[in-house]
Amino acid sequence: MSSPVTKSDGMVAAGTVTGPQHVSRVRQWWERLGPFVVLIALFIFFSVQSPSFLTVSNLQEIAREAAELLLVALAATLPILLGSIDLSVGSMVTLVGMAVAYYSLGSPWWVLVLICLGLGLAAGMLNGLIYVYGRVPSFLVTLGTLFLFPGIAQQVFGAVPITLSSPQLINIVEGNVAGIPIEFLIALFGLVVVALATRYTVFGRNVYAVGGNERVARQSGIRVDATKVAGFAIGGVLCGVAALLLCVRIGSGTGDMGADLLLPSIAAVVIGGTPLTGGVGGPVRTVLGVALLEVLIDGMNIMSVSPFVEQIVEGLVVIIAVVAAVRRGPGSRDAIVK
Amino acid sequence: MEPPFLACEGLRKSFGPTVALDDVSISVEGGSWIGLVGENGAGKSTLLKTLSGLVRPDDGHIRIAGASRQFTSIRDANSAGLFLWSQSSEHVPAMTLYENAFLGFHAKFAHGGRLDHKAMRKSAAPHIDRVLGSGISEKAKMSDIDYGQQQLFQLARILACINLLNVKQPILLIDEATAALDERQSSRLFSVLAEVHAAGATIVYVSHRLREIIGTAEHVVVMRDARVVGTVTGAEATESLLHSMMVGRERLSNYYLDSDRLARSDLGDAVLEATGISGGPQASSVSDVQLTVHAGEIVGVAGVEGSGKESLARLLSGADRVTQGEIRIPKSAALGRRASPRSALRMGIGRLPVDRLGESLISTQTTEFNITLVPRRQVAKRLRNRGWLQLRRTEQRRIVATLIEQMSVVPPDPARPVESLSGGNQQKVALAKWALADPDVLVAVDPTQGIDVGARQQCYRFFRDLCQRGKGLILVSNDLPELIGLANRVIVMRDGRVVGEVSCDSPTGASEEALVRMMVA
Repeated sequence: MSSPVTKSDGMVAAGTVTGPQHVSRVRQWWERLGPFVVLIALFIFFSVQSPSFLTVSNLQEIAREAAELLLVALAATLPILLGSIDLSVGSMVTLVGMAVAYYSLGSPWWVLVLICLGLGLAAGMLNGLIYVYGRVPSFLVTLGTLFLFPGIAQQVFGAVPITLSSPQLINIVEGNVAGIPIEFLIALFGLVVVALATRYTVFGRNVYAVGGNERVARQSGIRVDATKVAGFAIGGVLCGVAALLLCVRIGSGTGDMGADLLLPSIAAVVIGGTPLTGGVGGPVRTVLGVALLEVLIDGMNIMSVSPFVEQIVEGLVVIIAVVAAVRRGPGSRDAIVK
Repeated sequence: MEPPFLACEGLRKSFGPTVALDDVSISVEGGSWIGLVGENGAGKSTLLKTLSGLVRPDDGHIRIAGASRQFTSIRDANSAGLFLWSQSSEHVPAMTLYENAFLGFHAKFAHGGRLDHKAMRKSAAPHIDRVLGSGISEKAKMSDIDYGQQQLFQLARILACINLLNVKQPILLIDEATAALDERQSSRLFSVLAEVHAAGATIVYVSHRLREIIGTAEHVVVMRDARVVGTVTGAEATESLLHSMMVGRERLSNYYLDSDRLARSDLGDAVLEATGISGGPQASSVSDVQLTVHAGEIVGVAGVEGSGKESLARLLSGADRVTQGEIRIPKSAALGRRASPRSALRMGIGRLPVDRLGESLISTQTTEFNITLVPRRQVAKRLRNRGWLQLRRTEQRRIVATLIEQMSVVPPDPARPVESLSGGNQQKVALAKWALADPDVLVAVDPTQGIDVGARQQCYRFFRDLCQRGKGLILVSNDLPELIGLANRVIVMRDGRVVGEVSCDSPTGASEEALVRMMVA
């Protein structure tokens, strides 16, 4: 060991940064684009495997089916970004869907739209209010409403499927604009609104702050409770819109119409790269998750893969996505240099 | 010559682009007491973690008693007689002290699958007594003792394990032990460490508090920028020499920017008045505190752990509710009973908490996000052209870039997540956040805990600047020289009450001894 060094080179604060900066840039791009690359690969794979995959009618079919999942997955994204979770997204779809079908006979189409928006908002807000003012984990609140909403729907509107009898509404929703299904355009509109809201508004910032660290957010004067209620309420509205689309597509409202949407929607959020811990990720990533899932499901359908294999593949994709997300994420403990 | 007892050669470690250890070699004789100093991010903690197997070096090797060792876990290191006091100790809160003491070694107390709690308790009790004092039972739950005691418990655990594993020549790596301890606990720590050392233990002691190093360490190793830059003997070591080695220049004579301290006659009107406030988690956490802060004044708050000084900070900033009395900002209204940090902020009271990643910053978010977390209304207006819409990104970027430069955050990259910054730079980001929020009164709690000289200077400059602009500062700190150096006057708290006040206006006015006497009397 040497004697004291008296060389003066001014003040140098923490850890010297050396090495090529572009390495981390490449990593960052991969973090963002990973799922996108996989999506394109799947697209090419299915197009090569089956001539009926890359056809206008099949793409329209994918777009139609993706519309509902996209809306519900967006609804699931906001609570997850907040560091919470909403397990009742599918149940809200059931509640609103049955209500729309029930009131469809004789109501003009815009009344039905108002019903779906209003009831969705009310259901989402109920979740948020119980969560915030009951001081109960959102997981438990929405586990409760997961059962509550379909129960109410069937008690009030009856246990049998209700036919949607509003030709007006069906005409509007089932149309195409320049070959693009209206359903899909509606979902796209929802996406743009949510994406802009999370990225460019004070509300969006607050969502990330609350999800990142609730104590810090509160300490910084952010209205944590209001932000949470708003996040759940917006989720409810999105579920309401999804319910309307689903109701039109299947032509009726049933007591289990939304049940199959919950798990794929959460899966889509996670595959897209929004971790369940909150504070990072966002709606644009969720789109990738939805697209990946839908292309995968549709492609396997076209290749007439057995439904069980389909299930196995879906399960594996979720697990692989989570593992990859953990590797990709910035939160790895090694990143902390002391 | 006998080979050194503990040695490492050419240790290297990088975390991504950041080099934490760059060709580090040290050698320590058996039974010696080594001080290890350096600024934040100099690599001290990484070195200790590497020696104890928590961090795997990219290159280089470690020898203990001549044999090459690479531990794979802390348990592995403990079994070989090497123990680490970590800055962020982790215990199981729901377990008792004696169970925590032998965590990782419970198998040694198992008889055919049954855990012999009695033997464990008996074996742990004397060590817990020795370190924490006989007031605390080994059967207490970890969660029932306070934070300082939990930290001090690490030493009890080390002693108990040394005994259990029958280690003849233990090596103790102590990382920033006194950061969370009060005066009494610190002196306890030192007396026990001295006994252990006398009995043959080798000690490597890391601290920012140079006076803990000087006088006890036989050799002092100085690190800077991930390298060892020199070693001095205990006799040679002086504060100014170590400082100059750590930062590469002499310590400023005007360390606390004393010349910028406003004279009593220059202070303005009251900016905050607390009249007989009580409250906090327990009924007596804070009781009947009177406090007035004037424009341009720094009021220090001293007290041992549990004296209520942290609770007072929380009350003043709306984090906890006041049950009695009133907090008023003369130019606006009173902080109501239903106060929240938000309402306090609106009145112009901010708080800089000690727990940087727990309460101050959002660790996964970027420097830019964190700095702009609490913009004051005027700034917010510049950032948002339409109320809730926030579209003026260029303006925000410009403001953030200026602040990053002002606070000399390293690296000066607004898009970097704050969790990847060193502690000192995290604190600079937190300061930038409050610079933008610009509160009339800032309540700072241990603002320089565990941060390096450079960041400290930044912190002091920021505080002085606040005062020059007619703001008030309440400085709650465990660092007595800092309190005396910065504050206009220091109030002393004990058992939730204010028990005394010392004026620091004249250089001879306040002494650490006077404060300590009031704190513990």
